[in-house]
Amino acid sequence: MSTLIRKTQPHPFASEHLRGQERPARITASRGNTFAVYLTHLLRRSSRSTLIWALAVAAYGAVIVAAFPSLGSAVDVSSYPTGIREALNITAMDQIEPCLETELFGYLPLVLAFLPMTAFAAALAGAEERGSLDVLLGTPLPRRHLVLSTFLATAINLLAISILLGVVLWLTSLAVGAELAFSAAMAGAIAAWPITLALGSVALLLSAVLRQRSQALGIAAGVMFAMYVLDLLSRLVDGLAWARYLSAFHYYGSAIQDGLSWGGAILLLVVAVVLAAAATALFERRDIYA
Amino acid sequence: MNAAIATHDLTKTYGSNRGIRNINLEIGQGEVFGFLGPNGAGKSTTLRTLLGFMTPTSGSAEILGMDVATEHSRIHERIGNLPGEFTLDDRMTGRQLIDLFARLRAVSSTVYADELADRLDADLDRPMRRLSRGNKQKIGIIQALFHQPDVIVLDEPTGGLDPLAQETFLDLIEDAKGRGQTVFFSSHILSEIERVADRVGIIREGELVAVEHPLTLTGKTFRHVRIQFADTGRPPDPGALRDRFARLDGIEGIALDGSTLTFEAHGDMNEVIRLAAQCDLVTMDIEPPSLEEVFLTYYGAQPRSLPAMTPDVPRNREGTGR
Repeated sequence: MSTLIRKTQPHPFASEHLRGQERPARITASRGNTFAVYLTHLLRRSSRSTLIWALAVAAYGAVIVAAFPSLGSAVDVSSYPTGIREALNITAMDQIEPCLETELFGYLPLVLAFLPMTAFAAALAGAEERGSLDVLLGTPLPRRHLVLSTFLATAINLLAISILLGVVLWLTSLAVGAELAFSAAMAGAIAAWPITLALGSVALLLSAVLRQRSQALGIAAGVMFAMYVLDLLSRLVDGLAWARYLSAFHYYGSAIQDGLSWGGAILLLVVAVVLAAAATALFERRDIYA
Repeated sequence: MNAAIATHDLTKTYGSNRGIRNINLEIGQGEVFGFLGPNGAGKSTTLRTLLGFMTPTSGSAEILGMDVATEHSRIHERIGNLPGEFTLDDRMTGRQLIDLFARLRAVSSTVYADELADRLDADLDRPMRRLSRGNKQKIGIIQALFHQPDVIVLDEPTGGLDPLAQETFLDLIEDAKGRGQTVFFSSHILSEIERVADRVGIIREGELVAVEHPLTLTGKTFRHVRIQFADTGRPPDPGALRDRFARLDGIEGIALDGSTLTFEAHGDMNEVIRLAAQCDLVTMDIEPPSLEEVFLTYYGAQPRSLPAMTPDVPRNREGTGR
């Protein structure tokens, strides 16, 4: 330890110190592009579970499309009560679009939103419970980068799942001759992205404030189901028509039949971003317990 | 700016009755500072407040001149941190974790990480869920040291380590000191603090009760003495010898079992040894007290061991009602 080099200034490249010395006198560190580094890490770590989600959702969609030629004639929806048909957006089963709306897209967000919800609940509250935040946040990674990279990584994963679903639906329809337009398939699938991200972001906000993963996940799931029921009721009960605007599902609509509702999609994305920003601000200030 | 770490009446209260009160510390650059205290005394709270995980209720603290409450990201660029519970993503291997942290810290070389792994005999290529607690802790030590930060903060770093790895760890701390790095580590193992720390802070119930040189710390307390007399058959018999030792200043808890005499020496050891030199002995053992006993001395929890014998021990000012 005779060659002591005391660091006076942060040095960007440690290798210059290393050259020509028997051992590193002092390695120098500063701060990497922590946001990009952690985002890349998250995408890599979640790639397998994203793939499993994508394959499961796409396989389910493909089965429905493949079954459509036989399903369409077998189910006579005209016998269903009008109210129920309206509430569940069931029109006729002899076309592929309403069939997919009923069998898949009507409740896809209820299932798919669990991906962002579990990811967000685990990233902050779950990590705090497991005691892993101390290790991670002991690095130069700022808290806001942790929250926002988690949000962005999940948004990217969800979008990838949606796109894959749309493509698989369209390819399957080609194979079985179900006459599903590419634009309709993609509109239906892409429309699931803003609503699942918005519903999931409720869990991100809760995860930033509460200290328990199960609470963040449970309350967010409760909010989602409450909104779904509210949307159903607002269509069935005349006096509740005003309440539909309180539910995210109202802005989701039925993109496979009506095309993507840009206004609704943008509104849901704005809600997601606002929730993520609020989560960031609150997480930035609060104490982290070990 | 000379102090690597400085706290000014640092106070953090949360929950019921937990936290730290008015901690004043100054740790110089290049100093190894040991932080000693029982579980729940506030060691982790102090370290975690310094790392910016919790905002001080009152008071302030700086690391390398930067405020811990507002500049933690910049501080983290220049520290290495091992929390009391080391865990991240258990599916990752040690190498994946080090690579991630090297990118977050913009460290271009992980040569030292490999050297650390080699010296600690750590397995970097196995997922951490497959590692025992001690082997996982080695990864934790590596990630705290591999970038050779200016300040190293370690919470119970040797927990779960086998004796060999504990020894290596102490060598690593001495190496860090040699490079001019500052080390602040908590422990409840007196011997390891004694070996590497320049100074020791003792914390009890959220208050810093003493800051000492480690040898002063153990020097201020008593010694366990065990003497086995030779069975000569001549007077003085062991009973008479016991009475002679009992007359020395500061002898407590004296007991004779056959020809073996045991007592605690709180006074001048010279007198004990002079007297022992006049006897026929088989063996004589002099042992420092255990950490628990040192704590008892400092914490004043055991009234009998305190008065008169150790007059220079700082007593808890308010007097604790225990």
